[in-house]
Amino acid sequence: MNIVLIQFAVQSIVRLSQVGKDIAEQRARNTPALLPGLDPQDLSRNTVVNGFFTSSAWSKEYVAEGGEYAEFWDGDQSKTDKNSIDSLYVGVLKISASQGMDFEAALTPSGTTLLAQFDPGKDPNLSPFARIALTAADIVLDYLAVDPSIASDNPNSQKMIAAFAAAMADFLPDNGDFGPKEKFGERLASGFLRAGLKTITTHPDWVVEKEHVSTLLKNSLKPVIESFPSTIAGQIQWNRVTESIIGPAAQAALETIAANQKAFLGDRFDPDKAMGAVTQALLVEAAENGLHDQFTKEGLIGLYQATLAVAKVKPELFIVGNTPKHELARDALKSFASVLESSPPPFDHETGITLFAIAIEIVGENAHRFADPKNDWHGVAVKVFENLTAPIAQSVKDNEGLKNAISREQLVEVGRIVLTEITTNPTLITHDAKEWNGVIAAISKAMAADEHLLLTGEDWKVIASIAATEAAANPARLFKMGSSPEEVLGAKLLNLILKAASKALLLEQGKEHTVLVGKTLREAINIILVAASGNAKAILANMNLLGKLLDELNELAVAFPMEIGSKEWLHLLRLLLGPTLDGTPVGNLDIERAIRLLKGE
Amino acid sequence: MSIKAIILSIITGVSIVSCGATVRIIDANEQLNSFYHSLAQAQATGDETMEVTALSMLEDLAKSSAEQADKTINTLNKISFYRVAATAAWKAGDTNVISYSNAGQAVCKKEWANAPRDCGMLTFIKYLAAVDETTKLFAIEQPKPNHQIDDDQARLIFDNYESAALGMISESQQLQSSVPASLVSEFNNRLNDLVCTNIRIGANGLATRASIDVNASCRIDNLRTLAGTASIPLPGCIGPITNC
Repeated sequence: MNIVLIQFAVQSIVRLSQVGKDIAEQRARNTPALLPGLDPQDLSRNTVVNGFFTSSAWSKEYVAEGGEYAEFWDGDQSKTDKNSIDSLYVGVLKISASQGMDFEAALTPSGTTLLAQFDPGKDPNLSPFARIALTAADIVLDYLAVDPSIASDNPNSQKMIAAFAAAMADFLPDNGDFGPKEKFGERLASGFLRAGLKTITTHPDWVVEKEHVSTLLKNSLKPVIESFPSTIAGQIQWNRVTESIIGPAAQAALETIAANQKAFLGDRFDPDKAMGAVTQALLVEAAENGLHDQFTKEGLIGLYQATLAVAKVKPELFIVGNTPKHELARDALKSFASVLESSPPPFDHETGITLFAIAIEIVGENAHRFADPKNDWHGVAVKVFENLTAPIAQSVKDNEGLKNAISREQLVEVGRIVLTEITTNPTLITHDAKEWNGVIAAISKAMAADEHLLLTGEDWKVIASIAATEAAANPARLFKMGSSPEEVLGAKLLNLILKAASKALLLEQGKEHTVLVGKTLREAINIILVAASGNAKAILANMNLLGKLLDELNELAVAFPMEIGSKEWLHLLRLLLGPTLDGTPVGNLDIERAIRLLKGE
Repeated sequence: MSIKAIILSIITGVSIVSCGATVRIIDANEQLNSFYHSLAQAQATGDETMEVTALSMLEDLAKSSAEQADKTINTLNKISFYRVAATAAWKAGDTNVISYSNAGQAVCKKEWANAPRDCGMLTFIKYLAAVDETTKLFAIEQPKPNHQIDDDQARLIFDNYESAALGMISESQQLQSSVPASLVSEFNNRLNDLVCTNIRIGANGLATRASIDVNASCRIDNLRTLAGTASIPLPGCIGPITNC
């Protein structure tokens, strides 16, 4: 099949849009047409025997005088008694049988049938060539109406059409004998072409490389088409699910290429092959297992996009030798789907999918760092997701108020921050004592302890960032996981600070005057964590003194709101935190001493 | 949309194009298949309500398809719509089948090669419609005792069937060489049903029972001879042909 010729044909049809329309109508006209049978006659035996024995000179001889059935005949017609009619009827059957005919079967009129417009092979319009050109042209025409820049002489459109044609040529038989499988493939490929044209319009800077798109299409579609089931029920299921998912899937795949052009340049086709394997896995998984309330199209596409991102940078995770292995991608998608199904709220729906997608991307892209001989990379991603979500979910459960204080997006951001940060320090993730688990444990415990909702979702994002940064910079200090989450030093510190903040609310006029809330509290946590991280032993020894310092500062701020505001409070903390960690009690901190300290005296 | 349309839509699961909307060929085809299937099912199960509804829907489809054919500029589309209209009218027992067929055939004169199946069907559907119409008359007379059969009706039934058969045979020459082989085969099968069952056994048996002389054996042999000349096999008619 000549791809250039097809491309040229497509351009011609686009320019002569009426021709394209005509071809589409021709296809509709040539669908099989119904030819009903004649209505059957309701024939009694009386009518049959009279009809049969008088229909020709030959048959009349049987009832003429001396004939085999003459005794049942009376003049020009049969005798009317039942015995005569039945005997003559048996005669009809016998005579017909002797002539090689099943008489009763012959009485049944020809049935209804479906007829083709043309004899096989004589259809002038439906060659594979025409079908490809027609399908492509229909789609391009659709887009032309919306975006004239996509006209067929646009080089990007040309390359996209050529890749589409090459993919279709790969699975359409040259004899034009299209079965359900080929029609299914045609629809899938059309989904890709539509997505491709859409991507061209949304990424005008994208220089389409035909070979890369073609490799992606071939690796995505051909094996799926070959797996198309032969049963009607199976075909209905595959068509329904894949047609609903092919558009967004193709769009995601091509967007990935368009937005990451450098990864798809030259003769390196591994990313295309790997993405093909992932796309194929998605289509087969969705087709075989369907979509349902718990695991929606959006959910599947979300995980697919994340897995595509992994395939883009780590194609070797989906390729064995030189062959893309969709089984590897399918195992990954399956394990992702499985863990999401059992994920606790608030991570049971979109929030979980979004966060999981982040985990997949981060773990996949850093698969070499997460090396775990006991687990595949996707197994690690699952563990990471579970370790990330379980403690936070527990905190939300323990502290109902958090549901309103922290949005689902902010929860996702907390997770993203921690995951992103930990990848900056390989030591955090390459051995069993995973400090980042400690970070999550500490933050989760603190969230649960923040009964008065002193911190907002935004504050928690910043705290997560500080904690993760500290954990990455100084592993084995503040966030080293002990036997229980409560033993994590960072968790103890956060708890201590939040307790002090809550205590301030209980002071007389505490609710009105305390400064240790919101941004001030967030900054206080920052100051203390940074200081403690550099001197973990000291903080462990002087936890009580730190608590007293915070109480003193809070009492001062509540009693002297005009003199001690947020800025002053934080300044005093910075001044007094060092001595406190050295084991020096703050002593009696009255307003005069505080003012002197603030003045630097 | 009428109540009957909604009912049949529920029964058949086929969405029905509202009155006044532009009908697409593909939809018209699908509706034809579905309504006819419902009719056949209703007749097989004796569901009279469903049968009446299906007949009515076929008639409506015939009308809307013919209207669409009249409006359509593209001649090949016209032919397809007329084919749907004629088929639906035939099975609905609608006498407009003739005008739909004729209108389609007029367009076919220049486009036969591009729509051989549709044009072939338009050529002989009206004869099949005439056969079914006559079979309805036959169904009234056939159960009567011999002496109560209406002589004129019995004669008319024979004449009508014969006329349809002669018409089909006369059209066959053009059909044999210009339509798909599958259509030729189906055409031949229906002519065989008509001559060898409807006429030879049914109409002839009825006339014999009514004791009227329609010169049946000669007229049947004549049809068999004409069919043979046109290379149409009639395997359902056994025994040699004798010249009267």
